[in-house]
Amino acid sequence: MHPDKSAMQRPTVRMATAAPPVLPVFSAPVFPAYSGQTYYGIPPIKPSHYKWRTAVAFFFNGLAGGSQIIATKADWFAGADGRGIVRTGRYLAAAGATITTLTLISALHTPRRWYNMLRIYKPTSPMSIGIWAITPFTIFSVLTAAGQFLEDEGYSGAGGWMGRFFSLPSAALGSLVMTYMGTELEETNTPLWAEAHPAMAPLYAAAGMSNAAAALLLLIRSKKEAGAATLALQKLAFVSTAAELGLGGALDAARRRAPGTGSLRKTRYDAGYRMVSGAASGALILWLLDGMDRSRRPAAGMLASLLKLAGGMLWQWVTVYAGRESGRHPGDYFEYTRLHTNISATKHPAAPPPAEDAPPDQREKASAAVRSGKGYARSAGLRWSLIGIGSVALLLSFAKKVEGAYDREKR
Amino acid sequence: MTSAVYPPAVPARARNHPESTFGQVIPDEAELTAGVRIVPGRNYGFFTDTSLCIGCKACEVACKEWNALPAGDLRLSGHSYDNTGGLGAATWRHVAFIEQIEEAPGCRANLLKPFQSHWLMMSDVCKHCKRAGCLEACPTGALFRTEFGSVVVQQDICNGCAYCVPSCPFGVIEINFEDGRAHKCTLCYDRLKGGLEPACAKTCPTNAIQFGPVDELVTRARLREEKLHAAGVETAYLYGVPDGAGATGGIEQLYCFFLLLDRPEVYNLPVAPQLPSKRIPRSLGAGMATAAVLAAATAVLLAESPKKLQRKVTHASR
Repeated sequence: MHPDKSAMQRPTVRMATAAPPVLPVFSAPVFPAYSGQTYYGIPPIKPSHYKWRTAVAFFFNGLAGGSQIIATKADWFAGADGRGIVRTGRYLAAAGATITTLTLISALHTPRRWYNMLRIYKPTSPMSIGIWAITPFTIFSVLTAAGQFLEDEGYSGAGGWMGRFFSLPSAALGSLVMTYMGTELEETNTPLWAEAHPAMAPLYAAAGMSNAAAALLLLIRSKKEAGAATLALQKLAFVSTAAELGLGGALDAARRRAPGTGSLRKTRYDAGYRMVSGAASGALILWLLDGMDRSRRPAAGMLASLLKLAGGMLWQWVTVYAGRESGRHPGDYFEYTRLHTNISATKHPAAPPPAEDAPPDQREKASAAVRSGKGYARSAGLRWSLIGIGSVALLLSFAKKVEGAYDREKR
Repeated sequence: MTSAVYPPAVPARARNHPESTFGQVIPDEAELTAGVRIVPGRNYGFFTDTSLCIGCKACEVACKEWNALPAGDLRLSGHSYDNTGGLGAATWRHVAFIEQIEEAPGCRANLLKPFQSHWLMMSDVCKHCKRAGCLEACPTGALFRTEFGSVVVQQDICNGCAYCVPSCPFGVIEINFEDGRAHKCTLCYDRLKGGLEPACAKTCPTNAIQFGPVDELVTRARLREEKLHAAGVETAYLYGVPDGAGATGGIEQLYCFFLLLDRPEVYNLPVAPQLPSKRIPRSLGAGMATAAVLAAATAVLLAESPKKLQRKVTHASR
């Protein structure tokens, strides 16, 4: 506990050569290596207060955003068989957006003042960005659903026009609504979320799309509307789930490689996290089997959807609660600030440059800290973007190949 | 000019107020007690010199008294003399106690050193960062920068979204679950408006907590650091000055900064705290790019020729 004075250098004093400034300028002292000390185990930061309401709201948020995007794309690109997707998607988006809005308002600690969020727009706050995405998205989604309702009731001209008009801004906002939650969690100082930068937002986007596709598939096939576009929707579910798994796997691998972290494994939710991956993989396998099944029985596909949705809800839960728990571990936060930051930009490096006579393991730890700190955020973002885009492209071509093989066989 | 001589000479007009209890506020009282004339438009803060702290906790008491804060947990914590634990919604000054009794690992000291005597004591407070994580995260605008450079929560606007709580890199701000809003140190905004220095700085008996304009405090702190180094205390350093530990990651400077005598983690402070909002562009950009790719995939998959699909459906129904 006694500070090892021999490990600390006496700072050098450089006197100013010009007349101002009057005071000498100091170079920074170099700290002794961090040996894991904490202040009685008391967390240095406050864990977030997000609980089940936030998990539920985030789940329906992604679902709503993805549904609106799928419904709008189906409206523009799919044939007559796609009208079922358009109808279900628009209703699902409106319902999901309403559930999310009400749940988020109830999650406030002073809910009667929820409208204060709309006083200002602050681009440095992901929550402000999110509120200004959700509010118009909810309004436009409800108006789109109203237009769809009119169309269903027989007013096809006015209803169709109304639905299509409001679906465009709704879908545009839907992509932001699907994504911003990852940024909101990541842009805090909770170690589990902050160390995942910049992978959380892409994960949320992929999760939103895959959950929406799974939910739409479930609703459409339960009504026995097995149109041609349903097959395309199933392929989309497959591709987006695979993208989500790929991104999640890349994040896991990066976490395992980073020295000293692994905060997820220290929480109680590690098993839950593995179940999520298991559920998503199971859904993938079932969809693949269902795609190759010629009888087109809906059971396998619907089971896959249920599995994916359960996994999606579980993932939101685990992410929120594991993050809260990681905020209570002081060691995790101290490791995060030392390793996942651009330490070379400061004059007070967290770990001293490796000394020649330092023991080998200490030397390695120091250089790993500086190395991972410097390039971590920069190269990781590019890597993950390439992985994400590459996997989607690969899976798209794979999906098309399966369809092509099935076609050739039939002919 | 006041930084050269500290504490500064008390102005002559102090003799006009010899009474012990006052019927009204002395105008510009901070000039008499801290040598500072408080004017709007200048950045004010604290320099907390832990080498002078005696751990009396007068600052905790004065803060609770002035701001009428609730008492909190009254039990003994077992963490040396620190029974408060940390900063929170009802604790805006917190004195940390660290006992460093070992002379060598496993060997208790028999002779106490004349300086600090194996004790580290620090009065922790909201850092009122130059670029504050809590302020940048607040979606309602309840958190704002005052005319004195401090960061304050407007209690009539805060709706308790609690997003400031995990955004603070130092774990300062917290929600009071009884009134549903976020609370933290206000740098005694009400006292500053009246020309008085903050309660904790006024009451500190050793002048460990010094109040003043931030630039003057930094000058004074650097002189103090030099003096300690010259006296043989090589471990002294400033935490929260520009380009120093504690002012990293985009935070730039802490208007309430410290002179510490050991690693920041010993005092429960991060060595390289981060301003979270700096990471938004890359994160949101990556997310939106993913969403765009998936939306494009949706369009591609849905836009298949109806004839080909119709054939497949006909085959399946046979």
